[in-house]
Amino acid sequence: MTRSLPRSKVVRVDLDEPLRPVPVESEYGRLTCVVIRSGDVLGMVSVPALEVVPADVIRAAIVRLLPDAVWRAELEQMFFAAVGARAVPESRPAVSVVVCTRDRIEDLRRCLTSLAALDPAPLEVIVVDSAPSREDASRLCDDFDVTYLHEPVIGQSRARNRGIAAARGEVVAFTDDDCVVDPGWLRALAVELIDPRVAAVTGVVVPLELETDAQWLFEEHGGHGRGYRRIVLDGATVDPITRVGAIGVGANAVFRRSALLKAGPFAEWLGPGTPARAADDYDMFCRLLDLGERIVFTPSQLVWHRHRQDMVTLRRTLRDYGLSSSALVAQRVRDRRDLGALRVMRWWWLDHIPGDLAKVVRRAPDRLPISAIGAELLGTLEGARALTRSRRSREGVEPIGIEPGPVMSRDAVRVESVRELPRLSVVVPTIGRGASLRRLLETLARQSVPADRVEVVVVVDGGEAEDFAGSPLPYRLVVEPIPRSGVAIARNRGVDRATGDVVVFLDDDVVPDADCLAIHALAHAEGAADIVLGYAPPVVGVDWWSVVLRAWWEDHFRRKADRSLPLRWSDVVTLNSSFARKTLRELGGFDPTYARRHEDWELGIRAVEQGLKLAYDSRAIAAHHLDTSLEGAVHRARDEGRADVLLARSYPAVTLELPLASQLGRAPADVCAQSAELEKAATYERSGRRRAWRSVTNGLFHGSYVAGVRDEIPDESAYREFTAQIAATRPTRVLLQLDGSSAPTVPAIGAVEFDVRIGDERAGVIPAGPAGMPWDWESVFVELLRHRWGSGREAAVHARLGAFAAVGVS
Amino acid sequence: MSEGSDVAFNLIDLDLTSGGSLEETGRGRAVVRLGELVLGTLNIPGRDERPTRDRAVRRNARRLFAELALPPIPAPTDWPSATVIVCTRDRPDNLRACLAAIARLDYPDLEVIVVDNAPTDGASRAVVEHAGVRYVLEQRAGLDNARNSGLAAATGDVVAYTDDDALPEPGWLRALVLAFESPSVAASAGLVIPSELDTPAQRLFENVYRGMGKGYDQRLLGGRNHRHALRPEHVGTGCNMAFRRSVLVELGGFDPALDVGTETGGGGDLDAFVRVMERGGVIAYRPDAVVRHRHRRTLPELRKQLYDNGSGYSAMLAAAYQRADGPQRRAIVRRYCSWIVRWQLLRIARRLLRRERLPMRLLVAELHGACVGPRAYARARAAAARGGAGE
Repeated sequence: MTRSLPRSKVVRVDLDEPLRPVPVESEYGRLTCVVIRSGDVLGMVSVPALEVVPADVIRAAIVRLLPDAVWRAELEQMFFAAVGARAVPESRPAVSVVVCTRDRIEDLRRCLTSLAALDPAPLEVIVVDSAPSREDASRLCDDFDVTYLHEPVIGQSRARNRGIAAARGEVVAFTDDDCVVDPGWLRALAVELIDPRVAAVTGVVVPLELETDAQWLFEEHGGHGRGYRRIVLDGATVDPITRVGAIGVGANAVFRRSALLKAGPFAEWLGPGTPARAADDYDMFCRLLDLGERIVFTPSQLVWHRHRQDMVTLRRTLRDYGLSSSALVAQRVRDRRDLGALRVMRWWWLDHIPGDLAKVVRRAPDRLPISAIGAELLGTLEGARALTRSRRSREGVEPIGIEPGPVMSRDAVRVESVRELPRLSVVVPTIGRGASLRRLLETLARQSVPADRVEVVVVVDGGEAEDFAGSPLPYRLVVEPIPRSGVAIARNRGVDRATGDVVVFLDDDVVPDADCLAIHALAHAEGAADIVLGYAPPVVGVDWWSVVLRAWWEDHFRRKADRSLPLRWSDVVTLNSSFARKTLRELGGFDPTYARRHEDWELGIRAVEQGLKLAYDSRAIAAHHLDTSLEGAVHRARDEGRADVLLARSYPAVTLELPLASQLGRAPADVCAQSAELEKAATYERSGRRRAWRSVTNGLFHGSYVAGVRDEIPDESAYREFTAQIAATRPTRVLLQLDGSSAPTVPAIGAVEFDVRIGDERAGVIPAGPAGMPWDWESVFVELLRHRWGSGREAAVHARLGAFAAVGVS
Repeated sequence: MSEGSDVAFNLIDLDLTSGGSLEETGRGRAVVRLGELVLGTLNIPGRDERPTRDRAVRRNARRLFAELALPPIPAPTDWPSATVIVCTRDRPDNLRACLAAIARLDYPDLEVIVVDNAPTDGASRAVVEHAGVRYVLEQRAGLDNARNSGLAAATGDVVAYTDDDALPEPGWLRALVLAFESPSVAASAGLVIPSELDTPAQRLFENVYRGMGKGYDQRLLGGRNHRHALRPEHVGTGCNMAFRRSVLVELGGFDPALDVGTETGGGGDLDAFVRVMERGGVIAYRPDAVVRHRHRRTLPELRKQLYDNGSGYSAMLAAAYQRADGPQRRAIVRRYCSWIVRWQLLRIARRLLRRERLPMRLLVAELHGACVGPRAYARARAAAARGGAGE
C-alpha cells in the first residue's frame, strides 16, 4: 500500500483520577486515549504524539471531541443520584468466565493475566482449548488459577458449549483469547441483571493496539466498535436480525445461564472453525431476542481486543464477516421463514459495500483496499452454501447440551422464628378452570407454612361446585359456588367466608412457590404493611403475543421492585397479593361495579388515598400461567375500556395514567372485522413480519378498547364531553432538582411531569413517560436526554458558573 | 454590518466566571472567556438588551459544560526561568502600556528585556528605565536583528516575544511556558485578540481579514507530522510566541533578512516556526495564552501591513526554498503558487463578484507584496550579509 497510517499508542485515561502526562515512544505518530469516567467508556480521542503528551493536551482534546459524552455521563450521574435510583444490589452474581482458545499461546497468556486482575473477581475461569495442535495451552493454564478443558472437536461455538456445560455460575461471561479484559469488566453487571428480562449484557470492545495499517483499517472500518451509548434491545419490540449488529460481539458478552438454558446451546455449525466462519454470537443474540429477552449493550463493560495485524488476515476477517452474516440470514430464512432477515443483505449490498467503494473513489484516508472490499462482497455471496456445508460437516457429531446446573441457594425462609404467625385465608376466585385450580390446590398443600394456619376459600363464579374430595388436602377447604356475578363480587364473597387474619388472593392460574404463603404471612406478622404484593413471573410460550405479555408483566414487577419509586395504585394487582382482613373490611371490599377488570386497581386507589402501607416482596413467588391467546386479550381490552371509563369518572386524578388519553381519538373496532384481522396477525407471525404484526395487533387492541369505552358512553355528546374533559386534565408537576438539593416527591396517584432544575435554573419540563404508560426513572432519563438536551445543558452551565462566581474562582 | 462605517463599536470582555449582569453594551464584539481560556467571540448587534451572557452560554454550552465538568489540571510547582523580550522602535506610548501589562504578568521567575531598535531619540529608553527593566540597544534596523540581540542578552530557559503594540494578559506567560512541559515542544504560540476596535481599519482587519487569531482550539503542530512545516500561518504570530532558548540558539536565531525594518517587511516569526518544524520540533498553539494587539488604526497603515504580510510570507517561502533541496523545493514552489491562486487571486475574483468584503485596494496590496517578496528577500539577504539592514 502506498499510504501509511500513523502508528498509534493506545492508553486508558480514567477521568476519576488526575490526568497525567503520557510518555509516547518515538515509533508512534499519535496517541489514542480510551476515555473512561466512573467506569463508563466515554469514547476515544486521538492526539498527535509527543515524547510526553501533557495532561492538558489530553484534557483539551476530550473537551473538544467528547463534549456530548461528558455531558451525558455527568447528567446521568446527577440524575440518578438526585432520584436515588440505580442502587447497587447487595449480592453480586456468581460469574463463570469462559475463554475459548486455539493455538494462540501469547494472546492467551495476556488474556489470563488480565482475568486474574479482575475486580470483582469471578467465581471461576474456564479455558476451553479447541482442537489444539500443540499442548502448550494446557501447560500455561497450570500457571493460572483456571480450569482447563480440552475439546477435541473444532469450532468456537462447540468450545463455548463445552465451557457452559462445565460452568457453575448463574452467569456465564465470554471473552476471546485475543482480548484483554478491563479490571472493572464485571463491575456493572449486577446492576444490569436486576432486570430479570436481561438475558445478556454486552459491552464495548476497543483496540488494544493500533500498530499496523490493518489494525487501523479494521478499527476505522467499524471494527468491534458499537458506539459508547447504552443500548437496550427488547425482544418484545425489535426485529432481531436487523438490530442485532448494534448490540456487540461475542468477545465481550455475558449471558444468564437460565436464558441460555431456555434458548439452547450455541449453534455448533456456526462460528470460527466451521465453514460458516462466524456469527455464532449473533445467532445466540437473535434467539434470545426471539424469546422476548432483553439484551443490554453497556459502555461500562470494557474489553480490549488485539486486532489482526496483517492485511491478509484483515481481508480474510472481512470476508468471514460477510460470509457469516449472509449464512445467518440464510439460516433464518430457511428455518424460521423470516423474510425480514433479507433486509440485512440489502444493507450489505446497497449500503455497506457501496459506502466502502465511495471511500475508495473519494480516496478517503480510511478507505479499504479494493481487494478487501471484493473479499467482503464475495463473502456475502457465499453464505447460503457455506451454511449447508457447515451443517453437513456437523452430521454425526453429538452436540453438547446445557444442563440446568446447580441452583443458587437462597436463604430459607424461617417461619419458626415468628411466634405469632397470622392465620391465612387463601381466596381463589375461579371460572370453571378445573385443571389449573386443582394444580393450585395441590401446590398449596406443599407450603412451608404449617397447614393448620391455612384455609382455602374457592369461590366458583357461575359454575358447579366441583368435588375435590378425591385428593386429601391438609388444610381446611371451603368451596363456595355463586351465580355468575363478576370477579369483584366473587372476591368479596370469598372474604366474607374467610376467617383468617390475613386474606391472600391467588388467581386460579398461578402456581405458588413453597415459600409464597410464608412470605405473605411474615410480612403481615411484622406489621410492616397492610397490603403485600408478590411476584408472579409469567409462564408463557414463545409466540409473539406471549413474548409481549411476558415483557409487560416482568416490567411491571421490575418497577415494583425498584425502591426508588413509591408503590402506586396501579401496582395493586390481586393475582398474588395479601391484605390484612381488617384492612379489607375497612376499605369495604371490592367495588362490584367492576365486574370483569380493574377491580384491584379501584381498590388500590382507595388504599393509596387512605394512606395504607403497600409493600412488594419479590420472594413471594407464584408462577403465573397466563392465558396467552391473542383473541382473549383483544376481548379483555374491551372490558378494560369499560372499566377505565368507570375509573376515570370516579377518580379523575388517575385519568392521565390510563390509556384513555392516547386512545380516544380512534374509531371503535368493527367486531365483524376482528376475526379477519386476527387471521392476518397469525399470517404475519408465520411469515416473520414483526412490524406488520405489531401494527395489526395494536389496531385490534385500540379498536377493542375504544369499543369498550363506547359501550360505557354510547351517547355521542356525552362521549365528546368526556374526551374534552380528558384533554383538559393536566399532569401533576413535580420538582426534580438535579443537583440533589431536594429529593423529588412523586405522588402515588396521578400522572406527573417533572420540572427539572439545576440550581435555580430550569432545565426543562419533561413528561414522566409516554401518555398512559407506566414509567420508571430510566424512562424519565431517556425523556430528559431526548427532549431538553440543549437547554438542560445551558442550565447546567449557568448553575456551575453561578457556583464558580459564588466561591470566587477566576 | 458594514465594517467600514464609523459607528461606535465596542470590544467587550465577557468573562463567564465572573457573575453579575452586563450593562447594555451597544453594538460590538464580545470576547467570551472562561477565566483565562478564551472560548470565542460573539457579535453583538446594536440596541442589545444584554442577553449577551446567555447567548455566549448557549452558543458554547456543549464545550463549556465539558470544560466545567472535567477537573482542572493542577499547575506545576516548579517553573522554568523565562525571559520576555519586547522589541520596540520609536513608540514610547505603546511601549509604556505594554510594559505596564508585562508588570502585571503572573509568573514566578521572570526577566524582561526591551530591545530598542535603531531609535531616533531617547524616549523609549526613558520609558524602559522608568519601568525598571533591562534595556538593550540594537542599532541595526530590522525586527529580527532586535529579536536576536534580545536572545543574546536573555538568560531564561524560555524566551517569549511580544511587540510594543501588544498587551499580554496576566496569565499569558504561564500558558505559553506550560506548553514546554513536554520535552519535544520547541516553541509555543498563543491567541491574539484585538485590544480595541475603534476605527474602520481595525474592524476590517479583525472582522473581515480575520485578524491574527488562530482559533480557540489547542493544537500541536509539526513534530512527526511534516505536512505542517509549510503552513506556519496556522501556528501563530510574532507578538505572541515563545521558544526554548536552547532551540533558538541552535537555530542561529531569527533570519536578519526578514521582517519589519527590512525590505521583506515581515515573515521573520513564520520563518522561525518553519525552521523549528523542519527539524522535527513541535509547536504548541494555546488559546489560553492571550495577547491583546492594537491593530493599525488607519487604512494606509493597514494597506502597508497587508503588503508586508504578502511580501513577508513569500520571502519566508523563498528562505525555505534556499534551504531546501530537490523534491522539497518543488513542494515549496507548489505551495507558493497555490497560495497566490487560492488566497490572493481567488479573493480578488470573489471581490469582483461582491462576495468578499475586504476592499480591492487592500487585496491588491497583499498580492503586490506576494509578488515582490522573493526578490526583496534576495536583496535583503545581500544587505544583511553586508552587515547592516539598510532601508
